[in-house]
Amino acid sequence: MSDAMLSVEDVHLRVRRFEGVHHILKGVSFAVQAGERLAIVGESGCGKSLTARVLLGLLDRKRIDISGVARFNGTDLLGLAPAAWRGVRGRRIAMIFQDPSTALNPVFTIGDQLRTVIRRGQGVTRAEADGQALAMLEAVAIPDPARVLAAYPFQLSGGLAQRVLIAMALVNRPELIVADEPGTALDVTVQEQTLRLMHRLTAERGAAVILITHNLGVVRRFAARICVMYGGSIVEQGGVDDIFARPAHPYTQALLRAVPRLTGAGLPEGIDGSVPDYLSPPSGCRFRPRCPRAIDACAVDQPLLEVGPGHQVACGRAA
Amino acid sequence: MSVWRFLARRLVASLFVLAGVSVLIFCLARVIPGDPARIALGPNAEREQVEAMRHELWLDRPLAEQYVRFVGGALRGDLGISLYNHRPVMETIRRTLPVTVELILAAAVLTALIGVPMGIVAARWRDGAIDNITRLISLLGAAAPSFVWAILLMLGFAYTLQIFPIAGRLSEAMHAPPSVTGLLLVDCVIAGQWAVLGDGLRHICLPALALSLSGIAQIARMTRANMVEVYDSAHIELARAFAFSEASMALKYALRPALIPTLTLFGLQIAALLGNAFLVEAVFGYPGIAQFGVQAILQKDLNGIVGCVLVIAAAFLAANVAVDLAVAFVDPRIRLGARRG
Ligand SMILES: Nc1ncnc2c1ncn2[C@@H]1O[C@H](COP(=O)(O)OP(=O)(O)OP(=O)(O)O)[C@@H](O)[C@H]1O
Ligand SMILES: [Mg+2]
Repeated sequence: MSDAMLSVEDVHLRVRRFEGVHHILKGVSFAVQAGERLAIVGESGCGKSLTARVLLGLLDRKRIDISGVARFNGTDLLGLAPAAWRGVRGRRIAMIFQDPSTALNPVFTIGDQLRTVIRRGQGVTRAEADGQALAMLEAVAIPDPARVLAAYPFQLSGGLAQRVLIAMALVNRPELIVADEPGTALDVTVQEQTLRLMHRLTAERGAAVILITHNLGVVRRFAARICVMYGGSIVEQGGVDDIFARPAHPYTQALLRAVPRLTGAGLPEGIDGSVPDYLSPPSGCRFRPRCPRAIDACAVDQPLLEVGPGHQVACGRAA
Repeated sequence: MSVWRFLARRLVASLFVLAGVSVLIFCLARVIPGDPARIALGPNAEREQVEAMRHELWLDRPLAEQYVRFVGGALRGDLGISLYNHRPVMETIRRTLPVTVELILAAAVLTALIGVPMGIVAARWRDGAIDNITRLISLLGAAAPSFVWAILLMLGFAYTLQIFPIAGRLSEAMHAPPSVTGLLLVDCVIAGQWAVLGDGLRHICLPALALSLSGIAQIARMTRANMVEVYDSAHIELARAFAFSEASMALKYALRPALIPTLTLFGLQIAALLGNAFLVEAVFGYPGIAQFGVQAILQKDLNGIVGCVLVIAAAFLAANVAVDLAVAFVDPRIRLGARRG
């Protein structure tokens, strides 16, 4: 695993709040190889976005304690000095934000924002940045790039604005792209187009992708490997086909049963209970209170165990 | 292009407001008790004299007729003769209004130049020294009205420490340059009279500071609150994720969205400045419109009251159009007419 481009090992994240310390991420470990596509799935509030923000150093370390290691091509991101982030953010690791209607600055033109991204990432002249901005908007299939560069975000449709976000993430040719639910704010067909575009462009450029989503259909088409998160931990990871065919963790199984199917009869099954309270989470496996197969032994921490080639599960009951 | 349409719309609306104000103040000045002619002539005047003056002032005609005559004069720039100083009201306004406008502009500039940077710094370094100073100033600003601060500043810096002159607009030895704009400080720059400029600046410091104190605090608090909010927004997170510099975020990408509500507040404060300027001018013996306005009211000088109120209303409307233009300049959604968001 040490040859991976990104390796995240035993990351814990605690948020200090008035009521106490919320222990949100608990021992998160995963790796991404160069050019690989990894999906992180899990229900709302399980810590997917926080994981993405850890990788870009976007969290306020005064309020939030982060421990563990996140090694990206040899440098530990968690120990990076503020000045050193400049060489990484937007340049080697870029993020695609979820909601294009809030992620773009409302009072500056697209051109201004995209140009700043390019100039900060590559240190090129203004004219050079202009040229790249135009070319990049063409690459994300924006029909009238010059007009879009001069436009303000409110003048663009959601789909167009989402393409601008993709252009921003790709333009400095980063090695890793973290896409946090790209396009979920858009309607389904536009979201689909957006994902296809992102898939094609990252493949062409050989960038690795971490795709965060709670749409399992999306995972199947756009990722090769999956990490399933529950309550701040990765409970299962493996190849897409393995996990869809042989889900080992009771949570993964419930998640797959909850997917609405177009074929077959019956309504999707929901999962009983709710996401754990991070202020006083259950000990051991955090899915324990909702798990139909929980036993006393689940109250101690569950290590990730190999159940097949590249397929690991954090559950003593999975066999 | 659409900025011009926007401007035209605002100007037309302002004219309607001004017309409304003129009707209101014209009637109000005439219905409040007390006979202006009697007050002007004194208690010992003969009945016939008073009647003659009422006739001369058209006070014995119907209100509507009086108003029509007034509008006719006003459109020609004639606001009538003051019963208080017996000179054309327009002449007095022309002499004193620029003085007040200059004081208010100085206070507005101080408010913007101190308030906004304080807010930016307070938001960037929350709970730091500047943040606490901002809190202290807003506490002080709320604790006492501006004329109290005028008196305290005068006692402290003019009377005790003698750093600034006590009163007036210029020292006796100084001679104002020929009036071009009516604004003394600007005229000094135009005429290149630097010594007079320095003297004028020394005189305007304390009144302008007293006038702007509460505004500085409000603008700083507002800017801070908006900046804090914008710093938490998704687009600033995106800016961080793409390694934008701290300076460009503080002075550009976070500042501009944060300035929009601040500018609107600024417009409201101009109204407060106009009102408070009366009291601050009185404290510092500043030769603005305050003295004339106060006397006009006390003496029930009809033409004086109406003239002063109209001029102040016009100044207020002009200031608000200016603020609206500034907002349109900063916010493209307003400038270009956003349909959503
Ligand atoms: N910046 C933050 N500071 C403190 N707590 C946070 C922060 N962001 C998220 N949290 C908390 O961490 C938990 C996980 O949030 P996160 O946003 O990572 O969930 P998510 O898996 O991305 O969910 P969703 O699918 O709804 O986006 C939530 O309980 C949330 O309240
Ligand atoms: Mg999220």
